Amino acid sequence: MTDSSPPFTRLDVCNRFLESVRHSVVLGMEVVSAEETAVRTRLPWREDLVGNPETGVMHGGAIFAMMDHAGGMSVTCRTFPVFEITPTIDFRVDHLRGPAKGAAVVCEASCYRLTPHVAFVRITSWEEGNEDAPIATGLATYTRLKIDKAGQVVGQ
Amino acid sequence: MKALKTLIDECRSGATDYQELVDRVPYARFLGIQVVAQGDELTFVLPKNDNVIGNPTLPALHGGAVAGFMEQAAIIFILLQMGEPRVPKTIDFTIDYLRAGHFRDTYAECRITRQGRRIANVHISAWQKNRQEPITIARAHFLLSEDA
Repeated sequence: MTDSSPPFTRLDVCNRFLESVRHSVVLGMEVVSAEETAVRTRLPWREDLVGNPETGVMHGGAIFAMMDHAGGMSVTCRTFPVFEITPTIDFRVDHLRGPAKGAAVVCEASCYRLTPHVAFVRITSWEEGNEDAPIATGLATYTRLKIDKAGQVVGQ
Repeated sequence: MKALKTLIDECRSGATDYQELVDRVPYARFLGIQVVAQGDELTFVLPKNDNVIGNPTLPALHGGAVAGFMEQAAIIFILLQMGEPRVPKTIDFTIDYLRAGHFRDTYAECRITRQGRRIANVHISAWQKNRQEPITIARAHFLLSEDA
């Protein structure tokens, strides 16, 4: 009998994915958990990510960037153990309220429908420790580019 | 720190460079956003730099960095165009990715599609090689201050 499970986990793949994306690393994004159905990431508050110096609230763009990448990771968790490049087709984010100054933002992304060419993803963000009161919700689609063993995109 | 309203008035009258308003926002400095004014027309620039790279093998810009750049461009645009006394709040932001963002300078322009008393609808377009071939287009709603 052979064990067909891969020698790495979804969390490993998401962490490697994160490390390879410089902008996400520079933002300070972290992967919290990675399951087949959902990925959780975290973005600590930092002075240089502030969007409004009067209030100290984190910029919507920084939150968006985390949600976008978390959405991509949620697709990775569905295609696991195969890794695909999944550029964003479109993304809508609703900012329900501003996160408090100093609060880390956590987000959960879930790929709720995967077709051969397109992945449909929902993303929700909240202040760490305040999961019942989302600060932002997002809805996105990603396209699936297959890559071969040499790391080249297939069919481009 | 100078009051936001004072700074905006100074920018609008030409007494102060627009860049001072851009640099007031930490996240705008983090991305390295610049603004170029030609008469009344404003073009926003996201200079190519390592910190905004997404896919390292291509290399391509991070879609989230481009989105953040466009959102902040719209906020600065509203402040300068309408003389808003405080930073407008983003209600929603919707972006379509049309082409890959290559590792080069990115430009954006904004257009106010509709300005109500409390809400502004803004269209933002970003390009690299030429304006006619946008890499992304976005539409956003912003909540304006009541006492404008």
